[in-house]
Amino acid sequence: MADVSGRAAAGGRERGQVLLVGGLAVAVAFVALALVLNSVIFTENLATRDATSTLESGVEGRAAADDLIAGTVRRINVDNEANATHATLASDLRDATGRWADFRTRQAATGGGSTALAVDSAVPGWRIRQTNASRNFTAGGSIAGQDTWRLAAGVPETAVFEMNLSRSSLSTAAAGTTRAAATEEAFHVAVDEPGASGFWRVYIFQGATTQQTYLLVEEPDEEFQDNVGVTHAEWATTACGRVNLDHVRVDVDDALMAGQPCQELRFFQSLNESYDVYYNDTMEDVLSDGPRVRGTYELFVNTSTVDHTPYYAMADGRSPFTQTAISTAFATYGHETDRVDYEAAFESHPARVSLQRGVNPEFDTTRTSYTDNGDGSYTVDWRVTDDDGDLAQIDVYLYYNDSTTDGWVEIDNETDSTIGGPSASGSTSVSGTLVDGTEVTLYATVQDDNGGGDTWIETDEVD
Amino acid sequence: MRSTRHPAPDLGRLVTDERGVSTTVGYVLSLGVATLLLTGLLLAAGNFMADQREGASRTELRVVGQQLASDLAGADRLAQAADDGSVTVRRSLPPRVVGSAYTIRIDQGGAVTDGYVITLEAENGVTATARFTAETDVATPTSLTGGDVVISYDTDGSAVLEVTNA
Repeated sequence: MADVSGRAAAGGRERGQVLLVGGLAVAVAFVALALVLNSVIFTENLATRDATSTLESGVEGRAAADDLIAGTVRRINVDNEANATHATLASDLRDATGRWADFRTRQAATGGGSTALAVDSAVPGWRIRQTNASRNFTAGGSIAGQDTWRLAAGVPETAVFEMNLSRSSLSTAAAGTTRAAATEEAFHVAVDEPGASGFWRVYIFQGATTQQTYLLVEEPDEEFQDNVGVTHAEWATTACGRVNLDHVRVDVDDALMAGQPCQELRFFQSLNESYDVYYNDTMEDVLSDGPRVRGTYELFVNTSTVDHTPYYAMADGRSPFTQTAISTAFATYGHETDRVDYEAAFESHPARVSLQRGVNPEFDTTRTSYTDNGDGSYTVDWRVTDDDGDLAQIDVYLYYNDSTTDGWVEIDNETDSTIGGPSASGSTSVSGTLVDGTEVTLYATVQDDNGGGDTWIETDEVD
Repeated sequence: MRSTRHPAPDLGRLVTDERGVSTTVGYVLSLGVATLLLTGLLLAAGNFMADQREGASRTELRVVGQQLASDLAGADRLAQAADDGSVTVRRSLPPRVVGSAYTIRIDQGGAVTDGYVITLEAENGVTATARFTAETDVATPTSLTGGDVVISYDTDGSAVLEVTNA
């Protein structure tokens, strides 16, 4: 029999061949395991890479292009003091976006990509404006003085409709009067919507004793005058506004009154195309009694033409007047990298931002805040700015919610009319006797010499 | 009486003492124990290897699925940001995972509205899924293989997100 013990052969040097083979097999297994783990490492490396940055940069670029065009159009419209033609405004827009597009292209090239932005078309529009805060709302131009008149016809889509009204000029509703009586001779905005059975009417007036401003909306199939049963208690507690301010801002398209949401105005956002807008009853029946409303307003219409009959030329320096503007712009944004080819055509809606921003004062919301002093008083630290440098006055009000009427009642207000120039800051304290758990609203308004304004609102609960 | 003293064991002689030793038995024992040891080691290593391969396959399929899902969600955001336009997204996926080819299938599904499910299955039987949501319609069902894929969208065409192999 073969001697496999290995003791006799060659002095015992030939040993462990089986172990050697086994060790080799285990080594091969480890190598294979290393290959498998290498695949796992590769996969984990793939998983930790930023996989979507190039896609997100396309979305960000598209949003940046929209912001650029919206901001540029707004600035072109606001700075259009020369009342340039629509073609000139469109050319200015293309020049401005072209410079930005060049910059973005160079920036994208550093990362191996490319971008492009081109304005395809600029839709013409018109700003119908009254900037004289002391003027009534009668027509101007060749029908100057007419108290019921049409502002615009065939409006496809209203972008901005804002009014800054002088409360003291509004018609008054006696205490306890019914809705029919309160609105019978009040100034109102009338909207003739295609297909509607009548007019939408937005009545704005003040309370004779409360000196609060009220806004009521009559629907087309409603007739306030035919329904004399709506009592003062019913309408006065549900009307929009109910604030005691010297100037009241009504954002019709945004459905806001004095900065507060006004549900009744939301009809304006869903009107059928091609509607007409009127001012009705802007003067007392006896003309010597004066107007029912004074203030400033702006109606922006995205039509290429308007009827200039009730308006003065802008160069005349009188209100109301019309001014050329860009309504919306259509553009195409392109973005290319090694992984993404993206082209997006979009419509930029700059006029949805209030065009009066830039000439109206604004609160710097990042530097305006309030402090609850704990003794029923609040201190509002405010900062305001005004691009055209004519700040006039800041008012701070403290309201509490009267649970019995569910209405806001003013308990204190402070006015600072020493502010001026392009910016101002300060602190104003208001106080009142308040019960724990009472809801309070701090309300601040800033105005400039043009009657423009902005509001700041915060609510709190007394504890 | 004579005392009997046992001599001290001579250890050196034990090594050369072959009484009670069978070469065959020794051989069988050595070989058998070594075989058992090696068999156990190889079996354990083999099982370990198989588990690692399966785990690696599943992990890699999951990563591939998540990458494809994120690209589809990103393409959806690009498409939603355009009133009109086109989107093309290219992604290089590994053609094989741990040496196995795999297939990708995209279907509608999931518990959320506008939800889709991506199912990946390797040749070795390992599967993984990934989910995403998209407001833009995605062409389903779609079947792909690993490798380069292209996600495309064009408002002038079908206006849906289509995924194809490049």
